[in-house]
Amino acid sequence: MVAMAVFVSAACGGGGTTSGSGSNVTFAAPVSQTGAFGQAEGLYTLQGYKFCVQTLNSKGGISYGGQSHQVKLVIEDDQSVAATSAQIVDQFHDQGDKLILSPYGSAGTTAVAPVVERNAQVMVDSNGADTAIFSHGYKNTFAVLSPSSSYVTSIIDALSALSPAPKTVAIIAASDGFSQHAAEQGVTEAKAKGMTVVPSATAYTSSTKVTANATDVSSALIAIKGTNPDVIIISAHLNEAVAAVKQASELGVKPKDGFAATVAPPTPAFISALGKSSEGIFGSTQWVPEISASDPVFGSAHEFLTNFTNTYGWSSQQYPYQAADAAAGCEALALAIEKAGSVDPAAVRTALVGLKADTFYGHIEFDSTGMNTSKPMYVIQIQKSAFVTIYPSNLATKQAIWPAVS
Amino acid sequence: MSRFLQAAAYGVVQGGLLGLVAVGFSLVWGVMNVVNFSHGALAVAGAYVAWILNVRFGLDPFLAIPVVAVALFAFGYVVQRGLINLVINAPIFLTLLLTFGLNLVILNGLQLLFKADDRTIDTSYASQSFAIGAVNVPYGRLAACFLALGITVALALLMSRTRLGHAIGATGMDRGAARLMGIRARHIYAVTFGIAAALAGVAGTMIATVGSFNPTTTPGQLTLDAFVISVLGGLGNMYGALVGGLVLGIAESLGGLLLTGTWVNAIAMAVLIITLIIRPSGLIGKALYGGRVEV
Repeated sequence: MVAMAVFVSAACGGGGTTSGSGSNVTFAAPVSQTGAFGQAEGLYTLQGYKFCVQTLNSKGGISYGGQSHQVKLVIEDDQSVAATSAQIVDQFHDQGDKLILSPYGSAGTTAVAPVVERNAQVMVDSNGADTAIFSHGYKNTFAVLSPSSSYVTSIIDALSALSPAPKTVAIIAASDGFSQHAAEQGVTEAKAKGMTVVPSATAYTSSTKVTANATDVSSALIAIKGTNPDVIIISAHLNEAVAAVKQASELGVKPKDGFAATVAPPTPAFISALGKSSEGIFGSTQWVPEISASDPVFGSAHEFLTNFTNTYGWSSQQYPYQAADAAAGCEALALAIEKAGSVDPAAVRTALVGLKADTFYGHIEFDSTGMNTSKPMYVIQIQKSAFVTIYPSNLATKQAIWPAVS
Repeated sequence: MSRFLQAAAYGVVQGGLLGLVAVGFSLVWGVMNVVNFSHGALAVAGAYVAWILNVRFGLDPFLAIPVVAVALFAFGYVVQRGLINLVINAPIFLTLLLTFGLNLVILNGLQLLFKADDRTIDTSYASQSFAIGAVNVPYGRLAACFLALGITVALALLMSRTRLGHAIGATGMDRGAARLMGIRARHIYAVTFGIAAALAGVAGTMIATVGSFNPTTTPGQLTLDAFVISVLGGLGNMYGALVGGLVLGIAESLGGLLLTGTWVNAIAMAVLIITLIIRPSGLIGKALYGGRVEV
């Protein structure tokens, strides 16, 4: 075990040798176990954190100060309520827990970031992608995942690489900040690629805007009906995306080429909710196992997938990418502690500022605002109930089925 | 114009589905003066029964309805006789607490049995539609709408033309007087709750057929919808839930057409508030049910 700890330490530039076990290091996280995210995205995030801690500990823990330290994970259920996430992180502070892993989602992370700042805690954000989080000048929040601006743009880029490329797209966007920002950037990218956005380039803020977590999006689909888009892109979370695909069929809204969505398609819950209707739908994702990346803790991206899915009983064809985000966030925090040689939050923060790590998740390096802008996003398509990477082309395992609707 | 017609058509069929969700809730509230917070949980339990019958035995959800109704009726009857009847004379807040607790027990049980994944009953027709000009009418929601109409008419006939219906009505108006007439109030209450549970199960089956469901977010939404529709339509009239559902469905659909989709809930609440200002007993409710005798 000690040898493993040395291995991990050497991998992140810590160097040195360990001489016994030190006190536990506590990672604290508010994670949704009930409520809207409780049984899907929150669950995936929780499993990612648990898998990371379990793997770190099985390899000797975190090495600093000449000793190896086991990691203890403290979890509290935020009930999928952003304000509760913030309260929990305040309680963590009162308990002396300074090293924070983010909740699932931009709303929760947005609420937690100012609390972390006020309490001089330090947080690694694994699943809150809204760029607005990083526009406030916070110094203690660092995100391993690509920002919200990449979600719809990566879909547009993937679509424009297909033949024939779509000429018109409609974008339905949920009312939350993440989905609205992703849609806004997507509209800009679509126009740059020569596509026409219907019913209008600003519809995602009005007629095709839907309430976050809504299960009825008929108003947006009726607004789109008659504009005959080649592709309908849904910038939203699971509930809205499922409702959009089902209700589009009911209302006779049939895009010529198919559907795409941001967060929902690369999650097992999307396929279980839609069944056959999920076939051919494109989705943007933060991580795919085909990337050429590895680290001493988790091994290669493929090894991470195999070990994670075996541990939690997922199919390797339907894996929740949010778990990879969570494990990467947890790993970044561990690497920063080793680099800092301390669990002092100020020292860990300084280490995160200068962190440059190649991991199973890809390259992790933070810009001046705390975002990991160097990491690309990927696009998958659901084919025969499996996630198939189709973009970028060098990672594609199969050709995209296109047009995706018959 | 075609968008207006599409929104109106969708509002009507969606309203029918909403009415179906509320009809059992309205019955229990009207007759027993119990605001049943476990109504959404019962609907989701019915959805799971239909889902199992579909996945395991390939049974079409419409053919599964009798099985769902019988199963939920039996469950509702037993729950009323063994549990809710214990507090039937207590203040309404106690019955609220009890049904809320029952709601939690059912939902946690469902989560243990099925996990909390979103489920749907896949059929070849529910998500399809037929076109009348530029207006598409979805088969699944249309069928649910007709089902709501049929059930409401049947319920109205039951209440007005049968001894059981008269007994339910009499017990709802004045329990003491009903007892003096030889009506076994406990049995009538249990039958009423059983019917409401069966109707909830049928509604859940339709929700699972045209949409998706899970044991975490779906029950609360259904209970809230049922509550709003019952208040809007009014108690004491078997057609109240259907009328309330239709008004709400059309208001939400047309409202979403004119304003941003995020205003849909606000529109629904505005309709409710305006209706209650003009008619405090609801659109077609009977004021009698606000001041009945409880002995």
